[in-house]
Amino acid sequence: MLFEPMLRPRWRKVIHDLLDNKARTLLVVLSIAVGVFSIGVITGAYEIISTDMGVSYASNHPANIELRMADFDDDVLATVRNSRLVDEAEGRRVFNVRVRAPGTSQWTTLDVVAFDDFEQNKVNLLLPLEGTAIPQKREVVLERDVLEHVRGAAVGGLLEFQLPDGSVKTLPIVGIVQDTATGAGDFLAAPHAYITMTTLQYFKQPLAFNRIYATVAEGGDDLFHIREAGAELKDKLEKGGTVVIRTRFSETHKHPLTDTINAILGILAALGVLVVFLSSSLIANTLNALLNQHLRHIGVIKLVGGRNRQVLLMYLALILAFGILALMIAVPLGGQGAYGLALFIADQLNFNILGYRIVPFAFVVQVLVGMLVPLVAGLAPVVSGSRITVLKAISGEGARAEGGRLKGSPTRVTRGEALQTRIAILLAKRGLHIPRPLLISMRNTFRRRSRLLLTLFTLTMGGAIFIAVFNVRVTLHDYIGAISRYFVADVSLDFDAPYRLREVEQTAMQVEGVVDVEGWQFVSGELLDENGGVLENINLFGPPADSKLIEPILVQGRWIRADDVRRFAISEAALKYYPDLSPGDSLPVKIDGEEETWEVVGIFKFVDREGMLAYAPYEYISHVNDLANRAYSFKIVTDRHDRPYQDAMGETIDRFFRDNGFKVHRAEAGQASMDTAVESLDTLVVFLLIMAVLTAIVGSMGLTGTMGMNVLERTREIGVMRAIGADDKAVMRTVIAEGVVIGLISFALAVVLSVPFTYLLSTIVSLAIFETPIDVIFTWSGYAIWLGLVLILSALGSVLPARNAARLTIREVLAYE
Amino acid sequence: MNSISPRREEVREDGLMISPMIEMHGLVKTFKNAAGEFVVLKGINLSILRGEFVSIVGKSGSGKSTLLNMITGIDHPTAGRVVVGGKDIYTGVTESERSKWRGRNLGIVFQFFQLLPMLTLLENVMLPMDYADMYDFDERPKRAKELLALVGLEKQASKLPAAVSTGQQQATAIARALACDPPLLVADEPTGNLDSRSADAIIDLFEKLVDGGKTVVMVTHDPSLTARTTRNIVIADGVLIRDSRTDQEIASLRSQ
Repeated sequence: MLFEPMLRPRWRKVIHDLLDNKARTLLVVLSIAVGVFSIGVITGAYEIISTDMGVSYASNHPANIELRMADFDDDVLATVRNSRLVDEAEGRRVFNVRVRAPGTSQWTTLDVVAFDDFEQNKVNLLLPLEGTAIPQKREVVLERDVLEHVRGAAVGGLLEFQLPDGSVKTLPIVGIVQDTATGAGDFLAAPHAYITMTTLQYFKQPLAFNRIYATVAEGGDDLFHIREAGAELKDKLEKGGTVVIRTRFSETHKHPLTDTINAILGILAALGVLVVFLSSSLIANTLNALLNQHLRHIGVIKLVGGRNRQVLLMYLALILAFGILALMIAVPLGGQGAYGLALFIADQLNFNILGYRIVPFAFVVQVLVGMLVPLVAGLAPVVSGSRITVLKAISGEGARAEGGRLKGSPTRVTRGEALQTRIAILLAKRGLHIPRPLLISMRNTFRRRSRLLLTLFTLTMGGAIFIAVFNVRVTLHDYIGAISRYFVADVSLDFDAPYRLREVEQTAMQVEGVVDVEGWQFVSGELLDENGGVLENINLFGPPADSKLIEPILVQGRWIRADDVRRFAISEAALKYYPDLSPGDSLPVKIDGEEETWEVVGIFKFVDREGMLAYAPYEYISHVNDLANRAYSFKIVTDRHDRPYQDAMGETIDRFFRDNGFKVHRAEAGQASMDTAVESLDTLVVFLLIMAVLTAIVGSMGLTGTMGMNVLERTREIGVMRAIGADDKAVMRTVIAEGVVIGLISFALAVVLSVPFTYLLSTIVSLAIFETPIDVIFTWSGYAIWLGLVLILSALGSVLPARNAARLTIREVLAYE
Repeated sequence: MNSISPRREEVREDGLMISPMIEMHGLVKTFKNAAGEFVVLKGINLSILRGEFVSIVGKSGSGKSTLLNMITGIDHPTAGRVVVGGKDIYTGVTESERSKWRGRNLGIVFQFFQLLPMLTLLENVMLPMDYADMYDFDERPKRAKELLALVGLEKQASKLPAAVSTGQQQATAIARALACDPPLLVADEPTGNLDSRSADAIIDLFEKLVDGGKTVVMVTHDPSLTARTTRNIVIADGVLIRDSRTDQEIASLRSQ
């Protein structure tokens, strides 16, 4: 207060304007804050994730090269370790086995990883979370992801393992660890458990490695170099007689999912910018109303000698003050939000972030947005307000022009009003009288057209994004559904030894509910470039050419035939390496260590995450594998196709074959891997929904602001309504109905706008995840939910202004004397 | 004269015993602002009979409009009671309930007409019926048209207020005030914003309504209008200083 007299009166007016109408100040500040908050969350999360994802991944010394091989011993491992290209190499044995907590019935498949020496672990490090990270003989340590899949598993408890022969072994759980590297790039990877090599015997597993995890001596962030080194190692091993089934390569400082996450964060960033844009329209609306209310003040200021520039500066200072207040709210909240979002994403993708911190870049962006956006949004109303003539300002003409003309002075009837009136009269002539309170709501809606347009814009965008996210979700699910046409079988039955087709068929048909059985072949290969360099792994499946268990979506060419020799149908992922590929072309591949040329007969749609998929007829692949009339893998069709039945049949078939002496590796429901994929996609959809909800919140805030301003400007009319008999409920109904009318109009517009939004978002997301655009599916659920939500939001958004309206005393609003 | 004594029962000129339309007992209204307290009405006692056409006159700031607001329930007294049509409108009645009551029991005519600009004249007249839920929904347009015809505006029914003259707007406001057929009409400077011809027409209309049994209470600045009312009350500084009807007149009416 001591300094107050030092301030010039015009700056005191600015402070007064800031404090005078606290509700209005709060509305403007929140409008700015919501935009600053969203952009802060997204830029902050982007910065945190892009830094920490790589750092966290690298800190666990991820393998640059993973070689999946047939069983090998220490000598082979030594060959790799001795290579000049390799820095560290560790041999491990990985096998899958079904587990459950004692007392529970649900079996879950885990990948069990046997370490040679936990103490000397240097690649794919395990981060201890609970208990110990070093199990002793006949002890197991679990990756934290297991806890989500196996109910009842905890340190100090036991875990039951079902071996291929059906016997059950029990191990104590001694620790929980985090393994950010193993299986990091695979959405569909099974959770991991860790044992010592000495425990292998207990599982009736051979005391041999089947995987090598190696880091390169140099160029750990050069994928080309890593691939070269991997190819050289593979060559060396294969020349020594060791079969390398599959190779995987990754950079040290780049999490395998970085590109996907960046694409998703890119979408979030686009939505964040949109939220800023929407909040700026909210600010423009509020400042417009504020200037209208202040016209008389501006008139008086000019009357006593104030110049345009001085008025302009006063209101710009007011806007900056709003911005500063908004920053005080949004910057700390945005920082927390960014950390929360980063933490959520990190948790979902199993990497760690380096703790809460202020991200300088996000801070700068927030300050810029918080100061500049309100200035830009408010510039037009402030400039026009400052230029108004004294006469106009004092007479309130500027304000009246947009609808406050209740004082009885005759003004022009606008075309819109005339049209609305004509429609109501036409309806009335046909005996359809709309209740007058409802007419007031409907006609009030269109009285402030510029304000209505901005509100509609905000709410429509929120709605369109919301609906689009639901459509994208269904589109992704549908695509996964389409992909499941490659996995029509109800139960996949894999053996540890090859069996004759007829034998398996005859046994399987004895199980009630089994309808059909097919034996499939599999061979692993690599797609090569023109110089013989490895481009990508190929999983070459060999179903019978007339298999009923594949319904391929062919993009070009035809499906495989029984007489195809060295011909295959390949997934469109091959186009990434050979863009002009078409049926009839030949591709260089390496099958079983041999470089060959295969002809492409068809190209089909598929999601390739773990190597490229290709199909050749069983008839030929069984010849390649030297397994005529035999197979390791069988696909079984049952009489029902729902997931619970598939699970039950998997159990039954598993037991039946074990009982009959077959060496069953596993029997799994056909939909199992698809369901996991759907879960992963739903995580992505959650990110998108967060943004959709944020835009919806901005939309409803816009509506609340608009309704608040409308009520403020129509207090006199509300007073008249009260004077002629409207009780609280009637006044509230009129205001809320107006909000709902706006909500419904925005819904209609959102329905239209959601179509291009759905296409855009689907394309971006599918390119990020599947690396191919996918066909868009529309669902009514997004529309229905948004309709319900927009009605609730618009009703809620109007309740506060409506309550304020109902509370006004008539004397106040009519102000007689 | 500081006040006019209230009476429980009064006699109309036709000799019938009736209860008063409006009774005010010790009415005080104080406004507070930064400068302090300001007493606008200083213990008013007033009784207005059914069927009277009363004008209240006074200078600006005398308290006449505040007095009117006490009758309409638009404002509330600091002390005292107001009974309108036998109902104490301030004791145990919420603002919302008072609005509902007002819609059914009295019509208000404002100086600036206060028609809702987004509704046609016909819709403006129908609105109080909607709020009070009086008359069948389908009957309301017919009644509103009849009321507009009464004020000579049947041909303007589907126009918006902005499209008609100020006199026509005020006539519409009177039709709206009559929408629910209230026994009491309260008008605040109803001719203050009109030319003399329109003002005459409005007062003619009030006279017609009084002849039809309505009670009309009107605040005005215009001394020429007071001659046409059956009773004239003068207010100054929050006190009733003159009433054209004396206690003797009342006694005389009673004796007839």
